[in-house]
Amino acid sequence: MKGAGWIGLYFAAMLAIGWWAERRRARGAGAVEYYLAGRGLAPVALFFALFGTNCSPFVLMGIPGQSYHDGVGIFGLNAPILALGIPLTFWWLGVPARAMGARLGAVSPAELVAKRLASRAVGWALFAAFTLFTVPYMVTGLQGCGLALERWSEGALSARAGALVALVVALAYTFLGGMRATAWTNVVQGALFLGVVVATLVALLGELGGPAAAFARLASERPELAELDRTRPRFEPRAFASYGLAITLTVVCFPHILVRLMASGGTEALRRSCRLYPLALTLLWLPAVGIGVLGALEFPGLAGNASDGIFPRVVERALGPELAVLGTLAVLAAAMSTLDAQLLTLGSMLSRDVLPRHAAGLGAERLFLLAVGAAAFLLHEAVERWQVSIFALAQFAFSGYVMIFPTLALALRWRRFTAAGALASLALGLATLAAFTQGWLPGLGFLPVLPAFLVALAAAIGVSLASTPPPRAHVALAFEGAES
Amino acid sequence: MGGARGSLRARVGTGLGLGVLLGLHLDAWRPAGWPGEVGGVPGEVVYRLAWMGLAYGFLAWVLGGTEAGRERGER
Repeated sequence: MKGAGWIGLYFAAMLAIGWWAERRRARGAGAVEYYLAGRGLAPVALFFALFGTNCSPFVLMGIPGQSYHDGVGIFGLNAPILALGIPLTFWWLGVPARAMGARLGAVSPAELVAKRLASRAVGWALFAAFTLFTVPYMVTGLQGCGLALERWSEGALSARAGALVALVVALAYTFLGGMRATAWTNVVQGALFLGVVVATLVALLGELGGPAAAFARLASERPELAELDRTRPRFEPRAFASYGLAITLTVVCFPHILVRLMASGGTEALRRSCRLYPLALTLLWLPAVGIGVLGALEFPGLAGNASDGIFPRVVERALGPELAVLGTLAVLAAAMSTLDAQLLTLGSMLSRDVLPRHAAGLGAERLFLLAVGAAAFLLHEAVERWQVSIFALAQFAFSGYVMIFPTLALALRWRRFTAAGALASLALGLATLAAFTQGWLPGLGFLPVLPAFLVALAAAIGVSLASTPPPRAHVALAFEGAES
Repeated sequence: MGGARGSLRARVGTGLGLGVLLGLHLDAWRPAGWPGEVGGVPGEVVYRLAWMGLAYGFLAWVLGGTEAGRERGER
């Protein structure tokens, strides 16, 4: 197994950061210190915590795989709208989320909205929705780790054993150092996968004789990959527009992203992260798409999902067999930087929103974390056995998160918003999404997420206006001093 | 008063900026086949990168503008 030392070094570095974070933890500060790093994440840690959490193996494996078939249009479909939408939503909702969280003493995203609306029912509904949409995502990450380690070890390590190793390491450093550990491991992980992706594209372009020669060959051999073809279903204008809406609004609704915004060290730290975000996304997405498109020249004939394996193939070709392990490390880094945040956030919601009476002290908080890790692995086993399409589940999860957006945004930005409005929005939005997804209602060329989002938004506003406004004193407590 | 005027200007500017950017993102005013390749790089990639440059300027204005508005409000 070539590069076993690199894999061992990576795991050891993650554990060392977890141990260091545990040593730095302010004693007696409780849940705010463990789950939110004392609401004091510095700009570098905050930026990488957001970026690493946001970028999962989907970008490293799924995007090159899609670009392999659909060409450079995949860049236009995703990167520009993400580079604008993510920082805008982070800024628009992150500033009030942090301020309101501190004012209300909220630690988890569900707790924040529940306390803002003075409704435990809303907290429970959000916990259920967040869990429903986050767990499939966690399983996807575990699968990515398992497949990467199985491929690297040439089958010596099974996918199940690989997933278990990655989960145990991620659990260990998260267990030790909480949010601070996951933020600083994300610095290393983000830099690692970004560096590998960029280095791979540069080496590939060098092998193809430079960018001009590489694109000339693309235009001559595969001209259809060098343009955006509006006749392909995913690029048709209505699908293109609805997809843009979904990916713009979904990321800020990931509970594992929102909790990082709540942990920011202040407005300036968040502003700097927002300024860096588009640059980092461009640096990641250009190579990811380039690897897929140019990989189609080097490795033609991969059908269907087989193209998801184009990234490790190109890494090995471009960087050489000795450095092929870097492809495995990049996938592990991208998967674990998302997985650790998900473990921590679901653990915090379990202890703060569902079983608060049992969460006495850090020992209990950490037990909840282990419980979430165990549940994720059991579901991973079940999914493997039942052959469930994780891609389909992940697609539903992305659309599902968008249905949470009206509740989240209005709770943080609109004083007149009520708990009844939140519950109606969640219920009607998800029901409409299911109806459009199943084809019970005509989508007219739009993806189901667009009409369902409009229903969720209308329900949130309409039912809020028709229901009793929340007590003025409570609203003033939540909003006083909030950014406007 | 100054804060309120600044806030209105910011909202109108944000709305207009977002509208124009979304229109450009959806190719509303893009002539067919435009732009052609630049230095060998496909025109589609050039167009999206140019859009991202424009969007980055808008984002910088929002981040700066919001802060300026907040400071005016605090005063």
